[in-house]
Amino acid sequence: MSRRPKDPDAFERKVRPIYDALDSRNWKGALKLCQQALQKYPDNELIKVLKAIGLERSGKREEANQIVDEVIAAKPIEEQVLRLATMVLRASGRLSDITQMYEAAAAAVAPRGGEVALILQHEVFGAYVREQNFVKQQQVALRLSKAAATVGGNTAISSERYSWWVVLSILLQARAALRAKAMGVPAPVGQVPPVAMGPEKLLALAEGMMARQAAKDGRLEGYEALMVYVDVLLAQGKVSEALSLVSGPLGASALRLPAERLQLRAVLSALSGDLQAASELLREGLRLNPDDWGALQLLLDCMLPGTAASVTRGSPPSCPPTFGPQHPLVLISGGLAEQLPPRGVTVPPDEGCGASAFIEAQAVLQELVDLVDLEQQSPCSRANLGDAGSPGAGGGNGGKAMTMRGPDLALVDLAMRRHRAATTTATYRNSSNGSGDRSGPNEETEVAVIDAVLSYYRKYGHLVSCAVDLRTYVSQLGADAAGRLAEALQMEADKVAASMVTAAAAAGESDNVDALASLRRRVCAAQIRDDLGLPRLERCEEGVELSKELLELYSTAQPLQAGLDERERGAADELPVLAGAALVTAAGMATSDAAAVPYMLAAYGACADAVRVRPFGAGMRISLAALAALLAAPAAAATHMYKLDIKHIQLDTLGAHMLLPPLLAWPHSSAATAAATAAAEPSPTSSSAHGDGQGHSQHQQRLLDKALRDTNALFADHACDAGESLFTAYGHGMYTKVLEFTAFRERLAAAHTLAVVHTESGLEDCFRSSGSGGGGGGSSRSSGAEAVAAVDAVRSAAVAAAGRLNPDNLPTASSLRFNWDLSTRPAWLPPGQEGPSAAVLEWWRSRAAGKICGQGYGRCWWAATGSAEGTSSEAAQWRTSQASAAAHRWLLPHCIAGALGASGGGVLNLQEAVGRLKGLMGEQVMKSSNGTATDASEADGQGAAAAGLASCTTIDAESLRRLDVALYGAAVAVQVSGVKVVVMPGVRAGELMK
Amino acid sequence: MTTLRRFTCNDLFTYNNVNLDILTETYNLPFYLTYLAKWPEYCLMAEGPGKQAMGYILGKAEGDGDLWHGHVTAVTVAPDFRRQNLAQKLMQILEEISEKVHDCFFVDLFVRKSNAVAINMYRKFGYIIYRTVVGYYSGDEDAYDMRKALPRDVDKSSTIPLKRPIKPEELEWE
Repeated sequence: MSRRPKDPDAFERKVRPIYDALDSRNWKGALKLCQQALQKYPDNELIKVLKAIGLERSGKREEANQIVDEVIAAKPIEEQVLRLATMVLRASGRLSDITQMYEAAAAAVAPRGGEVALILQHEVFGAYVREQNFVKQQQVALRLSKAAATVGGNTAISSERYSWWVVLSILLQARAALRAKAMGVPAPVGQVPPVAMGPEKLLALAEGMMARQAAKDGRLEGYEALMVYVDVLLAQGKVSEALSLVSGPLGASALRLPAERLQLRAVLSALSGDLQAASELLREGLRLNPDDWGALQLLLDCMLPGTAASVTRGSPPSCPPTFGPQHPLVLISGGLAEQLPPRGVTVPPDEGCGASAFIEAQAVLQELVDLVDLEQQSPCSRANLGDAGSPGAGGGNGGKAMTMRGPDLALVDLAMRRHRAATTTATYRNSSNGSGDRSGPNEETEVAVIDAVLSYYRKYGHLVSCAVDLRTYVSQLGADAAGRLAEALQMEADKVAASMVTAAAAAGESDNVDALASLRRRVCAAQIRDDLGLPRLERCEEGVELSKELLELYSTAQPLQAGLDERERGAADELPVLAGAALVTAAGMATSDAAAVPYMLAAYGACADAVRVRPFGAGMRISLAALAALLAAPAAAATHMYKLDIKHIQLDTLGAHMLLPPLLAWPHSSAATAAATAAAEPSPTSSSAHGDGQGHSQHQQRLLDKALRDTNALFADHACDAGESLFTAYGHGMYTKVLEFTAFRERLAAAHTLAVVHTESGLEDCFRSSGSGGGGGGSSRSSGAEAVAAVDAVRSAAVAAAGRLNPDNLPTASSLRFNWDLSTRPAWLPPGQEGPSAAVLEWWRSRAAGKICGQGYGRCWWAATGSAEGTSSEAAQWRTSQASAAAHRWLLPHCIAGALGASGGGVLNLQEAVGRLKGLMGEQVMKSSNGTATDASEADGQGAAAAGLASCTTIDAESLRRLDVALYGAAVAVQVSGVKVVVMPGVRAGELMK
Repeated sequence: MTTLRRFTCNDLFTYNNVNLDILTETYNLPFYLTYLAKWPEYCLMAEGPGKQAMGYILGKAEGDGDLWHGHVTAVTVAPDFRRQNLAQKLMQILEEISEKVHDCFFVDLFVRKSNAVAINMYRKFGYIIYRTVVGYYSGDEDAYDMRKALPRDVDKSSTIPLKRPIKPEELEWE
């Protein structure tokens, strides 16, 4: 144990500068000061751990851990020493050592009792939070709540809050048990009770504790406590109890914003099946905040339950349909109701979709539209009508009211609901009378949708968001209706443009404000036309014509935005993107890949020209990055992405599918890259590029390394830091965030991107060892000895990679979480079925198959927010194939190691590895393209390899995977037959692997 | 059409249409999680149809005594949803929470001296330039510390401009 310095002031004078040096990131200076201080205080634990921090920060993790181990061995109890030691241990992922350290310290001071003991127990709780040991957490929290009650009111955290920690620890166990059951795998150790206690019992236990706590205090601590209480009630199907809780005095004590409470009551009324009451409450809320889209949607669901998007038709059909009222307010991410959602509300026999219901809904919405119109004319007028201070209230403060498009868009939504209901009814009628005819869309209701869209366009066509607002609706229209709408929009836009010309001529000068509004209307019309999937281009020339038309319109924007900050969005920035899309459609129709390239270069040119003026236009940069990726210019692609300053979480949501594919696909391109990188503006990422091919190759290698390293760090850092954020949330009483952060931690740990970067990093190590990864191998023929040395290096790299890629954790669609933000991908860049390493190749194959089209973004399944985890069948198929591709790559280091004769140490047996590769391909692998059997384990090596090569005459991603099977199958055959592996001089191991 | 709700971790996966804007900073994960763990009531997302992110605000309450105040850390609106007064709306809510939930004396924010558009916008919302912080942005650009008094500051003493520019280390809180 550290002795107390005799002269605290002198000690402070020694230590303070160390802290200052660490604060200013002067690690070297800090270490020097530590060394000096240790000469005077050789046994001081605080100085030792400060030194350990300095070492850890300067990259000497091992030395840092050694010092910390020494300090821990002396059983420290000083809070600051423990805290600093924790920082070092945490960075090294030694979470259980932190727990043991605090357990020991807490045990040492336990006999003393009092506040010091409480503080250390508090830290023990934090240590179990880091470890995600919910059972231990609960035990410690229970001790804490009792101890805090004994110590009295002097503690930083009240006994009441510690009781909530107990409740949360129980809820996390219930949640873990439910998740384990759903996924069919056992819960991790410490997450569920050791003795069988079902989740239902755990929930009841937690509810009982919350009820007792509330009864004792006569109130709930606040919003967070109330929402967790509501969540637990909902998970148990106790909806009316939840409603009573919120409506009663406990709800009043916890919710300080009246509008929030009103909203919550409305949602719970809907969930309890009282649609009438819910509608009334929602209407009351909407009078205060007519723009609340969540409330508008729920109101229409309650008034017309058969039209809700969440309707589930019964199976068998005799069961009445149900729907699940939804509102973001009541959904807690990571909550229990997410695992056990309340039962759906039964839809009334007529589905609440009678003609009168639609008329009533129309009237309610019209009333809100009128209210908004009044507000927009005179912002202060509504302040007198109700609670102007509610979160919903606009106006006030003398400023302008927010533009409230909600009720107007809800009219479009209503028209679409009516149309869908009419179509469903017609289909149902046909199927029940046995006619079997597929009824066409109901023309009258479809015309009503078109009218509603046009009416919205007339009112809001000048707003940038207009096309985005209407996207989901226009994308649902049938082909004829789409054509009619596009025509009508064109007429509207032309009308405005014509009136502008007249007005400008009359005024003798152009009025920028009106001209911009007119331009926006035309841009909006072009966007909606694109969302409709129009125009349908039949020939390459039509794509070129369309792009010209769009770029001509774009050129009219330039004089109107003189002086606009280059970081701001331009008035027509959507147009170069649409023009590029038209040219890519032309590329898609070209007769050969070679014939497609000029159109793609033209698309690149159109966007490159535009970014010279608006360098940060995200849509244009993404188009450029994707085109550069396809055109074998990986460094240029990376330059465009980095120009958007993507970092941190964006490496998962964007980087994995925008940045990695070109870097993985074209590791050695040079000439094309040189040209394209020069075309992209210089940036920090390209500044070190050299003019020669070799330099580019190295540059690209660095870019790939950086992308893989940074992405890996995102996940590794969160794995270290997540516990701290969680502990902070506990400390501040943010109970819903405890559940949310737990779900977030799980989501990142299971990220598909993480599986991808793990495998690709491992494979990169193998390729680099072969000399083909970093340009180090050169192109001259290697000698036999060099080749053998290369094989040894590859084998070592493959063994190391295989050790990190546990075959028991092979990625699957159900075990992965898919975080890619696919909505950023243009219509012509469909999310592929193959992983990032083969994505570029796959695009070209799709092009040859005539599957690339640039129009109709709104109709793409990936355009929706959060589409990667969406419920559509396309999304499900995409996830399955991505997981399969990731698993394939996951197995490759095992195959490489096995083929080169390595075994054991985490390396999968080669025969089994090949078997698993085949298993991932399902039926496809059994037959090659010419129908020859290619079961590699049975065929002789040469035959298998030849069959594999034959199947690769048209190189596509699937063939490559088939080739892997054949190649490693051949290795199995060679090993089984005892043929000696001979590496031919001049053939590099990396080339063999590829 | 805006659903105003609390910002959640899951929003980080879907907020690219807001954060791909170059004027919007993408922070590291601990930054967001710390705000959510301490001041979730101050972190709000404006969500449009199809659950699309329109914009968001992140803030906090801090300070001692009569310096107890609400702080706007980040307020941003996606380029698609600009010119609809959404930023003002988000600011109003933050002010309301500062006033009614936390009983603050004022609300403040920092803005780059060069960002004339934003400064004018905040002026319209009732903020005044309280003081200049020299080299606040990585030492290369000054910040204006702008403030708006809340009703609790009856005589509006929190918004009497300070004539002397200050250095970042003189700030009362981080």
